[in-house]
Amino acid sequence: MQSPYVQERLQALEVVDLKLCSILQEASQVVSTFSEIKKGNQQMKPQFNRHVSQLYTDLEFVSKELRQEIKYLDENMGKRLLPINNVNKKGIHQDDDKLKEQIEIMEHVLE
Amino acid sequence: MSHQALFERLDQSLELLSVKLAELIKLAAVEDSERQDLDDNNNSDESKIESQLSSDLMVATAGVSMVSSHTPQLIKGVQDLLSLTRTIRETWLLNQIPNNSRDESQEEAVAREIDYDHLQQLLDTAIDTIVGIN
Repeated sequence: MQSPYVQERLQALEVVDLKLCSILQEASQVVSTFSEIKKGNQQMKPQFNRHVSQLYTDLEFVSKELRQEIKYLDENMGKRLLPINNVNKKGIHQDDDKLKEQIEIMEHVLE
Repeated sequence: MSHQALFERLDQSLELLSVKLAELIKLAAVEDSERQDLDDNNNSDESKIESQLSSDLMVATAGVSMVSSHTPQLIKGVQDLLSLTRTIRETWLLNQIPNNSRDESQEEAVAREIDYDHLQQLLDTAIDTIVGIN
């Protein structure tokens, strides 16, 4: 289990990821309304404007949040994080957990 | 140690995204003004309208090709940002300084230990009962 602070950071990053997905969604809406406008459907203009402004709003949010997150990384270097990159760490506890699970199953079977 | 490289990646992706968006919107504006010109010239002679139509068609074709070349770059920009969040997440998860409180709880560590003798016994019983040697 991660510490609450790390969980908070991970959640913030998840929100950013979701925003990025909605940016893609808005971009596709922008392109489709754009092609509608080009087909002569002038009524789509307000929609086009709305999607473009929404896209910029999302982009601004993502930019702000990511800058903040990188700053948090800098702040926590040496406090919560190791000041090196690419730590080659392996999840060694998983093997033990799996083995325990198997032992329990075996006990159950042999009863 | 700072994360200057991350900032640079972020700036690059954001710049790409906003520039591509701006170009897309500029393209839309060009289309509209062309259409406006065409509407204004509606009352002049037919050959003029025809030439306007063909030029309008050309602009429209150019517009479509521009859009189709810009959209992959938009997607790539978003992908770059997604990989950036992934890098930050990996840093949080993999570069953590181990928490002392976890080492202090000896009971937890004992609970984590695997009882190999017990396992051996279980395996012996399993061989006896299932395979039926002896």
